[in-house]
Amino acid sequence: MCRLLHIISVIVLLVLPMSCISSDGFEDTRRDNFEALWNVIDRHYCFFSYKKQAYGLDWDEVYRRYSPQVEEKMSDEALFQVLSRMTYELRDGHVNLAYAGNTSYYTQWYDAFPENFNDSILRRYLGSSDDYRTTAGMKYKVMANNIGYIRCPSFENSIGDGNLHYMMEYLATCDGLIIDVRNNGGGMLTSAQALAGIFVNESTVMGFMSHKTGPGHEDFSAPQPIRVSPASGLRWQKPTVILTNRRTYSAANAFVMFVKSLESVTLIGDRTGGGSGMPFSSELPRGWSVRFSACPMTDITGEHTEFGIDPDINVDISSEDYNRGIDTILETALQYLAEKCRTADGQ
Amino acid sequence: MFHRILPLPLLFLPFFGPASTAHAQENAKYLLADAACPQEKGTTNAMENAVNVLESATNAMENAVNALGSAAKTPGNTANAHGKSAENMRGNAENAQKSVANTLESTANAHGKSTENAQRRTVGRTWIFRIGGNALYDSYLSPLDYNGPSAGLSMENEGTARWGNGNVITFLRLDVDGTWAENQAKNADFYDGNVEFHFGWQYNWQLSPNWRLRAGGIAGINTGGTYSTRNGNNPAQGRAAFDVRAMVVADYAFRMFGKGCSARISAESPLAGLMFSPQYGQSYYEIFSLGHYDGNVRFTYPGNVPSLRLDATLRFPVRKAYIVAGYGADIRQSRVNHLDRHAWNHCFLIGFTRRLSF
Repeated sequence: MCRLLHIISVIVLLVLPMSCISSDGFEDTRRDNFEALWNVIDRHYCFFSYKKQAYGLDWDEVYRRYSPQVEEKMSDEALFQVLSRMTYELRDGHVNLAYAGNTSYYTQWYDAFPENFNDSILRRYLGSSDDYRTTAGMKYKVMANNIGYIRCPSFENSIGDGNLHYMMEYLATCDGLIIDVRNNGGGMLTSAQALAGIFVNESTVMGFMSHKTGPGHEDFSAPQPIRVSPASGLRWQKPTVILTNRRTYSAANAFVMFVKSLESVTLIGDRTGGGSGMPFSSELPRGWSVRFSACPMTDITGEHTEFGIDPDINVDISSEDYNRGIDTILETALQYLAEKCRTADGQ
Repeated sequence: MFHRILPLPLLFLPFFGPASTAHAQENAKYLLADAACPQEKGTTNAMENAVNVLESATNAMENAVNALGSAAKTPGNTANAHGKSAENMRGNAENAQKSVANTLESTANAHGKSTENAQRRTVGRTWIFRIGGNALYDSYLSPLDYNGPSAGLSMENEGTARWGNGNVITFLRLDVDGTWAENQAKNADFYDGNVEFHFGWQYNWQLSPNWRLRAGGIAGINTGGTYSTRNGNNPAQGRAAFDVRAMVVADYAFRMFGKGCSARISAESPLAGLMFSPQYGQSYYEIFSLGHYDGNVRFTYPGNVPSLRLDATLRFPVRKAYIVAGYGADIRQSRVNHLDRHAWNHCFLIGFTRRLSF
């Protein structure tokens, strides 16, 4: 009996203290906030390898360059600036640092390019609220030449079968369809999948997703298919144009990635902004939030779309058209579909 | 002496029951006679009567045998008469012995069944409220520690098993607990909850008149989760696990202010099991929306789930119940799929025990 008690005591006293599972113990110092941010990104960010190939990103070199800039005497704002600039090295709109007074965004993926979208001009095409309908955050109407138009500014709203049913029933007699996802900054991937579901006749692989399996930069699972299921009772088989610009990002970029391989779909506008990593959240000891890309998605060929998707027809809104209140990209799409319809009627 | 402190542990009666050790046998009379088990008390008296009758019958048979021997030495009719008389006496004595033996056997059976029935019907049920603090860490949600108050409720049933000659205790426990914790900057919260159910058996050892040790295994399930108010696509971590644990309970009985009390220390630690966990960087969208499973059920052992639950309590009688008070530590840790988690819970325990009969 005593032997049994001794064995149990030894196990408890020796094994458990050695097996203590604890955090890194970061304190709220300038140095620890810097270390915490660098480590969070180092262990969880999903595009190190891809971006090393794309533009030579070296996260260890980033550490060496930014670490000397951190001092305990620096102000919160100064620390925020240093840490924000460090995240900009990732060239990723999904990487943000935030506190109550400010949020850092890497914006070069759209700042350096034409806007190619104007709300005031679009309002001229949509008309007043009596001229269009709205469901799940999407506005839709029938435009000239019997072309259906869906303005989808965000995927933040959940899109259900009912929303799609009423919208597509209203547009069912149109000869072509335009889905405008310009300036759509993303939202829920499930909403992007739901909208893509109106174009497929059966469950279809439209991309791949993987995730990290460990803290190493190369620790990834095998890519698993992202399947899009057909919308309940709906099949849109007519010519379709998707309007894109540099602010078509994240879930909207995923929507474009899903449908771009379909024969009936044409992309018109500017390259999308990208953002193909599903973001996770974390935090720093200071209480600041950190967001970063965690789960990479690729298209059906296995190519990353982190830096965007090129359109089939590249069109910018010209300065003259801006001044005249004309949406060059939308006009191009209307003409393209009208031409398509004439060709189809001729045949 | 042990019997002096026994009035207290009516609570422990199911586990102290008819034990096989010398102490337990010695105290069994006390337990059966004075521990408010009228059925057993009556049965014991019947057994004692039957034993007395059996002893009388045996004496009668010996007398008959002696008489038969004397008759064999006596010649003629007298001898025959004496021999027949002696044979008749021996036959009667044998019949009486058989009858008493049957009575004793049936009484013994009745005693056994009665004891078994008493064991079946009697359960020590303990309700314990836990109030304390919890230190949470979940690397899937945050690299930081979260701390905050926690509260929980436990219900434990303990009774003698139907097998094991009264040396085996059946143990059942249901736990519900919750924690609200903040990060050190106090601008984000974790809401954590758990529901656990465990069931198992423990063997009893009477180490000394005052000390009793139980050791055994329990198995059960643990479900719960942690929700972070800060995160977007990784807002929560779900938990589901099955495990088998080793459990040790030590009881010390003593008298305080003239009343029987006891102190108890119980410790348990998981030995093996299965546990759900997302992969290191896997989103719940992948698991539940896309149906991508990737090593989400893992085998657990002390190396990746080094956890310990320790309760130290005092139990003292108040009217018909026993008040339970003490300290509890519930150290839950896991390192699965490179995801680290701990919940270090320290709490004050207060509750009561009732002896329930079914």
